[in-house]
Amino acid sequence: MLVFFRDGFYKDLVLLLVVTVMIGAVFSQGVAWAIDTYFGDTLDGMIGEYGEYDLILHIRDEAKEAALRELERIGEQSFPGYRLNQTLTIAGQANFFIGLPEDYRTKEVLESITSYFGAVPGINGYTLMVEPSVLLRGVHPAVRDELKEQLEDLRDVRFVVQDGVNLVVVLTREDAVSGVTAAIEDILQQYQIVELRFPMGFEVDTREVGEKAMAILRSQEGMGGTYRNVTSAEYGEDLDAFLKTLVEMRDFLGSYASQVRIAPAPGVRLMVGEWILLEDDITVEITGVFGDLVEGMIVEGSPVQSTDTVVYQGFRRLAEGEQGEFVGDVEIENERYRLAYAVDESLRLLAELEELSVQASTAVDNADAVLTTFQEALMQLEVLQVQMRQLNEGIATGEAKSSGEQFLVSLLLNGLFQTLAQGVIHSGEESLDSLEHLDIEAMRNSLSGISEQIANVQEIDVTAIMEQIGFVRDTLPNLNDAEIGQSIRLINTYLGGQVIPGERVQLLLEGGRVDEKALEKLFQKELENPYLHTYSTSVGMVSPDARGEIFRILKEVRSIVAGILSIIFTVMVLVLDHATIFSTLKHLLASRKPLRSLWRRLLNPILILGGTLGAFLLTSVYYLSRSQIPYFQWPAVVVLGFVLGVLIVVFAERFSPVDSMELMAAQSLGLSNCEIMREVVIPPSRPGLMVMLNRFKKQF
Amino acid sequence: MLQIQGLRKSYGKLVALDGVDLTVEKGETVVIMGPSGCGKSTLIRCVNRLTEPDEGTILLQGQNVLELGHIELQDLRRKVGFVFQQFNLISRLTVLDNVIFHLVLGGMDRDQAATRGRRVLARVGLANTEDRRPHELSGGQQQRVGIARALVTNPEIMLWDEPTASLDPILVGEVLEVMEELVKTTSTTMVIVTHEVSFALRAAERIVFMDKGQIVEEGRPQEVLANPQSEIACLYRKLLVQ
Repeated sequence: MLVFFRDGFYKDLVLLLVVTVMIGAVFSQGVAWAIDTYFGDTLDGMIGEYGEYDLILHIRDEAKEAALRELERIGEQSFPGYRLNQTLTIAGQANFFIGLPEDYRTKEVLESITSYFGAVPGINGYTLMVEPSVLLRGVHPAVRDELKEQLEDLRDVRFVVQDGVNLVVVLTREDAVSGVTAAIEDILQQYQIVELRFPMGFEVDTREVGEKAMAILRSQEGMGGTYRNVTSAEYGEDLDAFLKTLVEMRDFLGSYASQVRIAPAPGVRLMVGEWILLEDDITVEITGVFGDLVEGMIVEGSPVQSTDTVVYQGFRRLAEGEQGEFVGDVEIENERYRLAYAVDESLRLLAELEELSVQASTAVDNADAVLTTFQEALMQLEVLQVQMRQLNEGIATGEAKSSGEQFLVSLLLNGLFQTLAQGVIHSGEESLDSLEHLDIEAMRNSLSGISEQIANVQEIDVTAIMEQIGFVRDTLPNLNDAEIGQSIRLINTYLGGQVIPGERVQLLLEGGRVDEKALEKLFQKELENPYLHTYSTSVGMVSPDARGEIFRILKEVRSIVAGILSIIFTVMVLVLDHATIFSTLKHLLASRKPLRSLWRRLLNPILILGGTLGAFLLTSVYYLSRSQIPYFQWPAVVVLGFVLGVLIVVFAERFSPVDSMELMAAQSLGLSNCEIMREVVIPPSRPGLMVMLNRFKKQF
Repeated sequence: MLQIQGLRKSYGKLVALDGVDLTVEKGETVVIMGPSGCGKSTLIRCVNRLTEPDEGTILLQGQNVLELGHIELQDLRRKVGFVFQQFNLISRLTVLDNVIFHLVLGGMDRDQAATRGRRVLARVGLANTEDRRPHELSGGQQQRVGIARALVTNPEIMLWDEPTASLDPILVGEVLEVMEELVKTTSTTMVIVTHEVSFALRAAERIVFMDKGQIVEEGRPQEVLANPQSEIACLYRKLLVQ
């Protein structure tokens, strides 16, 4: 194959490669530069020249007309000579750029933006973009004040504005940015926040743990600097609280949803995340597999409303929602319905209780009256008993003297009492004895106690209780199982991307640096908690200003565009120019013996040539055009170029067919390979750099 | 002039030439005939290595063609005129340029080459077509341009690969006429692959019959066709009688 190039065509090829690489680099870089310039100019048009505007007000789009009038009023009244520019509306939010006159670009004004613009209709916040400035993001509240003092003492710093958790360091001149940035970074280097994080569920006394942690640090040799416990609720606690709330809400929803248990049929294996179809269009997602016990939650449909366990047949859900094999019986307990049922029963009970207390009170009063009557009757019985006993004794001894009527009465009574005395009086005496022993007072006291308790019950505001229970019932989430299931999935999805916060302790280290990994082991051992983790963070982070950030992104875009253009350019060159060469080579080598073995075919010199040319072209153009595609490192560039070259060789005849008859005629006439290429092959081939360069060399 | 010994060529499992021995004397006109696929075209393409043979020896004017280097092979090809079945003209060039471009690339002055080219074109009956493109010509005219292109270098040997096979019967005559005229008026050695039996009878000094990659019969046309020994020769005789 080298013969093909040896008789002169190699010069043409080298020239072609050099020109291709140069043009490719210029083309890729040029287009990328044009894009960069265009967007740069566009951005300048939007956000103004450097230092032209000082803040961006974010206004809801529907309120921008009213906001504009109000901003003009505030501007004329408070900042005569102000500049106002309404630019892009992004995601329903209009952005107004405001430039303050020099006299008003003061710390006091910039720290009081809310007092000036807080009442603008539809305001959604603001962003300071004072220039020249250096932005210090996420400044820890423990060092904010002392940092401000230190920063204001720096040379070329005009003043420092606090903007939420950020500090905006406003400078006196533009070219001081890099110097001040370096000085700020030096200051930040003096501080280090060491954070101890405990896993979710660990309740710790942060003050006590903080003291212990500092004691541990002080006891260690080589841990220079001073420590302060700066555990703060102010610093990033909102997100922690939010995530904790989400976890609690998920657990609440989980316990509120119907409990689903699946008994897998023999031989059936279920996995977490699988969906099971039940009757009544119910779909269950498997949430846990614990040996033979499989739990799930309903994500579609609603089960029968019942306090009893409902059993369905479960089938595997196939792709496209089709019903698959039977997987087992699915038991569903509707806890939510049970709760509602219990609440309703409680309300009924309370209503009955009120009535019951009234009736009980009446019953106690009645019992008390009966007891009084009974006591009086008992006393009369005792008198009667004495009289009867005396009478009985008189009759028995005959001592009694009376008239005839008295005597008759006595006889009658005597007969009567004889009878009674024999059968009843004796037992009557015993009964009376036992009645005499009844503790009426104690019974009265008991009744009195019951009466008081009933009075207490009646004093309870049952109506209020019923109202509140009714309120609780009404405020229970009105969600069906499918909605609960989807909410849980949504929360899980969100939590999946978040670090679930636990308790944490923050120590501020001044004047020294520590290795967080070494500290982690030390704290785990000394605090006897193998689950805690240690992180080291800065007390703040120097950020480029908004404009710098935009232009940095633009630069990245330019590099990516250049990279993509490099690849496109290489493919085009390979197709338009080099495919012709590969096609000719394949034709010329076709008359040779075919390569039989696979590895010989893979080591086909044309494939290697194509791959090498592709790799060279792409790598060179990519490098010279200063391309940079994220995650696409140099080895990948070389490999991609090689692969492109090989692919073009494989499909060379399709991209650039060569007229084999003309080629054969040229061979038969004794033309050199170089002449064949220049006079026969290249002129009618696809228009490209090679055709253009060949114009200067061909004779016909 | 040309000595071929033990020439073999295969395309995969297909054997195109199976040990061909052939000698052509200087100034001799040899016609090779045989059925399609018998290896005629492969044989003459091996002579200037448009097709690389697998085995054998080809001596052309004492040079072993198969051992020639890259440059020597190009030199040899310039001395060998080759006429193709499909004319194989360069479509983007004019008739005159098609005829002379290899002369100019070989170093000849362009005007001198043009004069020579016009002369050759006139000889093949295409005096007024020099500025036309191949696609503007009839098939017979295109083939005559191909002949002129081969002739313009005054080759020592001319190889004809079925020059009339792509032409309709009306146009065959004008090409055969040119060929016959060339055979009679030049001393160039000619090896012609054709199916034109009557042309062979008139113009050839020797006919070689090939079948299945081998030479099966050869001899003077009148003798061979009068008393054919091989099946192929018999078929061609029958064709001639018809």
